[in-house]
Amino acid sequence: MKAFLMSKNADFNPERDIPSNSEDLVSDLELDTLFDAMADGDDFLRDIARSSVLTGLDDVDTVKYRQDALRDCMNHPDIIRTIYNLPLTSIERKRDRWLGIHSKYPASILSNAVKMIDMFLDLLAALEKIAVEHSSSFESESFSRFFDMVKRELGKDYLAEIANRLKELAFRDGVLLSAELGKGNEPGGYTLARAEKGGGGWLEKIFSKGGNSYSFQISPRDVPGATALAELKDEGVRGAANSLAKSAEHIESFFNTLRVELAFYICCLNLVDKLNTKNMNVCIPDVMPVSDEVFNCEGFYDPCLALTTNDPIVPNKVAADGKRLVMITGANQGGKSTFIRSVGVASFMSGCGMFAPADSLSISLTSAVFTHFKREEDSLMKSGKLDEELARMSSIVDSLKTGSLLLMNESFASTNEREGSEIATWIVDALMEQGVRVFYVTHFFELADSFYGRKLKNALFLRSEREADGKRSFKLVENGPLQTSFAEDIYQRVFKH
Amino acid sequence: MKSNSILFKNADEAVELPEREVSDLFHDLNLDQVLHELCSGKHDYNFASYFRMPLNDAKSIKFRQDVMRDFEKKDVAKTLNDFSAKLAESERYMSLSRESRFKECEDGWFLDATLSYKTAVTSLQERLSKHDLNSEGLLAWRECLSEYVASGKFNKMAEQAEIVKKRLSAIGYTIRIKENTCTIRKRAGETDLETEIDRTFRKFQENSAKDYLSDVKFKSLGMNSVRGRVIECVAKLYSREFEALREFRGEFANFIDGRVKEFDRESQFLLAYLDYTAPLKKRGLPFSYPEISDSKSDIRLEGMFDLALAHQLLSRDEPMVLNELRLEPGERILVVSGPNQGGKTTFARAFGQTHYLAKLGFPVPSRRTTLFLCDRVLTHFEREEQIANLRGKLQDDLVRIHDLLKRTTSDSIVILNEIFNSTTLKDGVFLGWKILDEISGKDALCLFVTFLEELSRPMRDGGALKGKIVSLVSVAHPENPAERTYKIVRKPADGRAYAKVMAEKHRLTHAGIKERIRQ
Repeated sequence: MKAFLMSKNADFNPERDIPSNSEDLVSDLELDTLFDAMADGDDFLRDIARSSVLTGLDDVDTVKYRQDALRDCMNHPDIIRTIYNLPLTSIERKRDRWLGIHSKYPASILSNAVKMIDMFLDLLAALEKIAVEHSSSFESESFSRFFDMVKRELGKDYLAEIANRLKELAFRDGVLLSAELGKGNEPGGYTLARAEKGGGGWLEKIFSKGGNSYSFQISPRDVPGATALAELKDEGVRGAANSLAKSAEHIESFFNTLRVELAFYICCLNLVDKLNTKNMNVCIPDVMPVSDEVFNCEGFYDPCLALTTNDPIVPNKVAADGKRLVMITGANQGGKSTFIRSVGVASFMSGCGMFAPADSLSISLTSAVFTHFKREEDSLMKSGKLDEELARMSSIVDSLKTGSLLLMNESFASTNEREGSEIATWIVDALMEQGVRVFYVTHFFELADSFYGRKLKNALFLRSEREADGKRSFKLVENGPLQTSFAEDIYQRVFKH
Repeated sequence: MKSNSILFKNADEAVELPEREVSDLFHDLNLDQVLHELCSGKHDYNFASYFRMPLNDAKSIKFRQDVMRDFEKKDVAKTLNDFSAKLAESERYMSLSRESRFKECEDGWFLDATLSYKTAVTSLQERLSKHDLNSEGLLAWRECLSEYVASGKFNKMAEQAEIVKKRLSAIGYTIRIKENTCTIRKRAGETDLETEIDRTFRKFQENSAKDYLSDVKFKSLGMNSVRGRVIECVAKLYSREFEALREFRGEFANFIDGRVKEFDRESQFLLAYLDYTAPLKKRGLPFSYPEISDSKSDIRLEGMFDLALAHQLLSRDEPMVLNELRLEPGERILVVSGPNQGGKTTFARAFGQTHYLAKLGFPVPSRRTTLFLCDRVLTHFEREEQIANLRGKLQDDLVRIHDLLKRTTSDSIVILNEIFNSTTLKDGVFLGWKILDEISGKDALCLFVTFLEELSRPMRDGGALKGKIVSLVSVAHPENPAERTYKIVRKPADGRAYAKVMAEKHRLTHAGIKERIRQ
């Protein structure tokens, strides 16, 4: 039994390795704000939010598979939350009734497993009932398949058969083993047997034939003998114990998987609720393969900023389809950093199958996202700032491959404009040639202009716009770099207030 | 059937060098690590004694190389390993038989031991006869084995064992446990509850990772009082089957042939070395059977490396650097100098290893190889731990070198590594020349690792050393002097360093990045 709500043919594994640069990503893109909103105070949900967002996909089919499931969830939030409660109930019961399979002895493994399965039975029945009643109103492949599986695998008759087997495994008439001679003539090959039904008990039959059987008794004082007998019984029930324990584990892991796979959608529901209260729109993005290099948005904003500020958000509209390099220049405090962060956040959201923070968004998936942001604090005195930046860049290069997305925010600003521009030019050129997409925020005119002057077809230049009165609009427009910065404006504004 | 060794062409070659004679050599060349790995898990075989029996005759080396070449065929190795495993199984069963407390099991284990032995021998014979063998040693052994398998004693034992086993295997019985009573009877139409349970719960068991029985400690081999009483009851129910077993054991008590065991030990020794080198070959490291020459100028090593180091690096995924060496007529003394950590010692070890391993008939760590058949390899490596007092240490070193030179003949190879490190520069150079003069006088072949560059310049009064000295240098990386290349090249000693550029240091040049990003 598989849930397969996160991908067509694999369980979602929240423990899988998150990218090694996650710490940088989370702090540079302020993803903690996003995770908190998705978790809504639940630690488990927060872990799922973190791992699902950070381990995004570069496979369009799976993303679309999740997007379809997400649409169903957004249409039936109450049913989804009810199903999500079933695994939560099983966890509570297991804890309250001290259930679990921890023994080293098959006989007690067996009896523990019987109790576990007994506890799961009515939750499975409840799930079956939901599937029967509501499956027709779900449209996605994932939920349709999930409900079909539940109806097929957990029918009423089958659940009744399980209940009967559990009774038989109480062994009221003793344990009967069929056995052979193994290596070295040692007794072995035990299998659990059932005496023929009807015609009296097994013992009576033996005695009626006479001389065909031998019995022995273990005296109550013979402790090693009693242990050996228990061992023999353990060996006899080992197959059944393993079957039942595995089954108990399977059902438990089915509920756990269900919890994990639904958790992602619960996280999405939590987030959309919060953005709605801020009057922010979301859309299901149109995702494209990595190689298409698509990026086209309207009403695009940074959800982490939206969640934390009460100021009005200025959405952006950018058409960067087919652009391998997007270079953003212009006034300080003009929304450049916010924009590059929102590109990162939206890439992650789109890449894991979530909705996107925009009225509309077409976006190519990416094999991995990296951030090389200017670090304000620098504890690494000994290596020097440029050395530190280069070392950081070098470790990013170790992980980069074709189709990766690199977000650079004022990289190499720790040195002078000439030197920084020169290093950055080498790097960006080489990265572009190797098929890495780069979004680069810089106030280095020399750097931006060296690329702008080449009139590259696959490069786009954005500039944070200034209004006629010198106020920032935080809007980005397509435009080449300007030699002056706007620090003077800001100075003016700050000092005139 | 005559005695047939696959290791020694002539029985009198199996002479073991005393431990004290080889312990320094093995330690200095890290051959002790190689030996340790060869023996791991196979201590019963005592491979160390074979490892201390270098061959001194080119024909004998060729004899063993040919056997090794046959062993390198995958199917042959598989045949021998299967044989060995089966033979070990037979021995394990015999020891279980000896230890058993119950007569039924003592006899039972004996029977299983004979069956394993029979399978080991017959399938070895069968499979060897199908293999395309070329070596004198293995062909002779195959003939000898065929004679044994065809013999009456072996055949009768095999036949009887099968019959007795078949009857015992047919026995079926049931045990009923209720409270503290156990009842045993012959099997009679019980149904299989386990399968039914399995059927009901099958769908929940797919892809189940955990096996709940893995923590369960069954003594599935080994008996206890209850199992003993069960088997006694079964023996009473089936008395004739157990009687036949007892008779069989009486008749075939000594069924193992000594030659079969010796073959197993010899073949496992050779296979252990091939197993040791297999992962290295997989990494693309070259091995070759050296051509053995009796001329000192015929040394030619292409793509040589340190075997023990390569094995250590396996787990670290670091590339191994291969080195070349080719001597011209008259060259006797190889002086290796250059930066520290540049691979000088590794080079010296590789040089010594190839020569010693060649004398064991093994393929050596080098792509193409011609080697001089030396009478012995002698080493003296700097010992870190002995720094008590300099004067004492110097004297001690000289005593040891003097002793080493006494054993040196014109057919010996002498490897000296960083000796005189703790003397003054002037003394070191002085002593270095003295030692080199001594070795030159013996006309032995010498590899001398030193940081004293002076020793590599044979210009000193044009005397006896002229034309004999070859200068080899460990080189630094051209772009990044801090990086080690481990490359040793033939050139005059120099000592240059290179400046670093920031971006180059981080390999962030345009070319550097393009090389690093996978496309």
